Amino acid sequence: METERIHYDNKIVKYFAYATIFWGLVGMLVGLLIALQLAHPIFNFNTAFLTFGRIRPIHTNAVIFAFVGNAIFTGVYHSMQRLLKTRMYSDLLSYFHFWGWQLIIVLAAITLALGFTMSKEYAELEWPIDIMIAVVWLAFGYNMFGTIAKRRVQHLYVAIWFYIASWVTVTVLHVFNSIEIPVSLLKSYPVYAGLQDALVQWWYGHNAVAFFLTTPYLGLMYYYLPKQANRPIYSYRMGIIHFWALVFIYIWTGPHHLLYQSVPNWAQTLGTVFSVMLIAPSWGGMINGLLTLRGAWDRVREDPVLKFMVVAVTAYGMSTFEGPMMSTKLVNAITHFTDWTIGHVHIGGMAWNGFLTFSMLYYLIPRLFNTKLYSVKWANTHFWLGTLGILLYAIPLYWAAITQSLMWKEFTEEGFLRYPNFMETVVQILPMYYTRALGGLLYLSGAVLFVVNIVKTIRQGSFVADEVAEVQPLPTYPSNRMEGEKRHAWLERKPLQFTFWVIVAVVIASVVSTVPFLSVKSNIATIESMKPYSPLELQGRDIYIREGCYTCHSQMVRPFRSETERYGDYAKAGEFVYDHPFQWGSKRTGPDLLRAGVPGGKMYKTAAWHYNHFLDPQKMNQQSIMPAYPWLITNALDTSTTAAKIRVMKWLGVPYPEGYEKEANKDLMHQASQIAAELQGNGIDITPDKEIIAMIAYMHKLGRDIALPGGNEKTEKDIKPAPDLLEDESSLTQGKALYATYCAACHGPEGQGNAVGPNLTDNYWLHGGTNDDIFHSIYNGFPEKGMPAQNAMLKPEELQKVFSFVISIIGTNPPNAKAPQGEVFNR
Amino acid sequence: MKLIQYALGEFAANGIYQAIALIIFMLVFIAIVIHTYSLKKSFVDQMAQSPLDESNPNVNSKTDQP
Repeated sequence: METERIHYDNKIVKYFAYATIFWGLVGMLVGLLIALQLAHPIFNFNTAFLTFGRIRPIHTNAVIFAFVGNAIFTGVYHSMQRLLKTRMYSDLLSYFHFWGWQLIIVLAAITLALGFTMSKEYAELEWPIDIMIAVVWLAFGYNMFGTIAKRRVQHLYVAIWFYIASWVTVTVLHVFNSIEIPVSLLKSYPVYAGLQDALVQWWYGHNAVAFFLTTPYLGLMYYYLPKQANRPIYSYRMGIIHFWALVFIYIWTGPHHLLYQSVPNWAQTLGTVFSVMLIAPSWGGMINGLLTLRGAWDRVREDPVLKFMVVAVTAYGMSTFEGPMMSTKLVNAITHFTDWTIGHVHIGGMAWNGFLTFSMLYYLIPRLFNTKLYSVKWANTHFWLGTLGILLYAIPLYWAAITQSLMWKEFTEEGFLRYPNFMETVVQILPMYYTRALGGLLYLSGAVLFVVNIVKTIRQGSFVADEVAEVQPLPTYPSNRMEGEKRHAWLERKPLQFTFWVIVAVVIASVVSTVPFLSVKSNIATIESMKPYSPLELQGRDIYIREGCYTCHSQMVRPFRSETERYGDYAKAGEFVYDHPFQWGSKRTGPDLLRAGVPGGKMYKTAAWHYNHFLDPQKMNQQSIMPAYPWLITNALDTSTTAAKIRVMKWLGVPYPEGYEKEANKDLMHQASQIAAELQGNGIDITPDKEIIAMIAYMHKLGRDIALPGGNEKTEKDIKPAPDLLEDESSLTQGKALYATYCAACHGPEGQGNAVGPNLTDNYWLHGGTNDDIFHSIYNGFPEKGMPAQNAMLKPEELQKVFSFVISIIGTNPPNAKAPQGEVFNR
Repeated sequence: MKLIQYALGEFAANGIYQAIALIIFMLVFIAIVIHTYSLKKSFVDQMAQSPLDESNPNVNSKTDQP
């Protein structure tokens, strides 16, 4: 039969490959920086655009959409041309796609660093960039389907199915999760609120993992693994089942991110059931990949490309077992909000996506440049550095997760939390954070070696821009099924019908699993006392979002005794109805803040405490790993946006009075003046127009509307006589250590007092100076003023020691002592 | 509309969504398995060879390894 000469476009493959390598290094470098920030806050450099909350989304976006995204396009543009035996449909669209995607990445990095974020994980980008993503993605799809239409093969190979499913589903996810109303050029509010927003976000979030990090990579696996092993996939039939089962099941599982949270129980169960079912197709895919190497395992010993592939596919299997286990309520109760989630996603990211990308590029680059890999030995070294890096990264995080979770949940025999101070659980896991950073450094070192190897490979070869291939023209087949032709075989040569069924599979699941959006209004019990955010609180909330506070602090108290004892009343769906977007979070590097505004509550802190804490967290607690936010104190609050924000919120259904946007700034200034006056009363020099004032207003709004009169906590105080004073050195030393942990943040390291708490070394007392008075103050605290009741945190013998230490420092006259407060009491 | 919302709420309370989801999935899954295993072996083998069937003899002669 006559053959045709065609030219594959290798240039676009090379472009995407270079972008993959570049953004991979950037993403990993930023990842290393945030790992170091978690180990020590000094790495935040006291600079707004370098703080953890802002660059953590840069890391996730760089790795997911820049590194993995470009790797997907590299593989798709390379494999698709060869599997379909045709050049891409349009070179123009190919390069529009390439440059458009790189522009999006650059804009994403800049806007996130500047604090423009939707705060929805993996969908942080603001509306103009969302529109750009949609345009570029559509161009990619048009090019892909155009290429499929002009193919020279009848049937579509399974890798192409995965590419089609990925494109279709990501399109649906991106559009529906990004419905937002602009407030300004770089600020918008999502149309969904609270529970609805959470369900949509995690329907998107989980399926971004599924259809961006998984299904396209499965397509790459089905192409590159047989190529490198030089043998066909183990079972093509299993591939068909793998594909349809995966596409059908994945989309249902999003609510497993919201177990025990304020969403309907049936949705949680749905997420759990389908997550567990997902093990079957996922493991089918893994087994199919690994068994492709049957009879070729000896080559794995020598061939670094196969080594990377084997670990990648194995990690896919491990992750897809671990994920469903974490989706069961029993395990989720332990792992959620801990570093387990971070360990889990990094097994997927570093081993599955990272290693498969490296293997693909090790395979591709020599072929694109018509040469051999510069150094197989270096590639093997890269493999071992990467593998060791992954282990040193993940194992400490699993360790940290179990440690922290068990500490959060442990009670004393008397029924108190054994570790009531959140800081105790942070300090315990810091060594694991250092080890994790070391793991990341090793992984990055391997990647640097990979880049050097690739550069040297490129230099020794010559690029084949338009690769020539001899192909046979496509024979003509009837459009309808031929005699004896099975339905799936027919479907594989009918891309439109095929795509239709993919859409059906995705949409059925989406519709059924998103029914809560329709019935949610009747499912949420209205809480009459819930009031919309005041203008100042709304501005403060947007600063909270801008600084990425949600990356470390949840706002979701689950109905566990260990959480209600620590934070306060559990969360109700009805209290989030004005939250555009929701701020439930997914990780607790710091404590939950849902009840931070409940007067007298366990989490309540005074305005002065918040001021000092934002200014210098380590001054308030030496062991804190929270970065400082000094710019909140110097930045003037931008009130020019208030009216627009109120207008959009009203449009979204938040019940502000008619015309309130015109009055909003007046109310804002009134509330700001009150907070500023309180701070000034504590000796803090501040004016009402600063951002910190809005932030404090937001902190004090959290949970306040549904708090019981007088606070949710018991207000009656136990009358306890002072215990005997201890005077031995050992007891006083232990008392001093306890004081440093529990008291120094507010009373100064030497008891000299600070902007929050009074001086303890003079003879003036706010609540009486007798031993009984002082012990009573320590024992019961003054929650309404921000001083916690230490009896909930310390054992009786510890209370006795810290009490003895406090008595021992009276009259010590330390430097920089705070002016006397209260009434004199001469001992 | 209220009736629909009521019905949806009642379904949720009775776990009907999980049941519907499970039944749909099981039916689709069983159909795919039956159908897949009824495909001709020659067709399946031919498709499995797709990545290995590259018609580009002109270039990349030095790329036998890795």
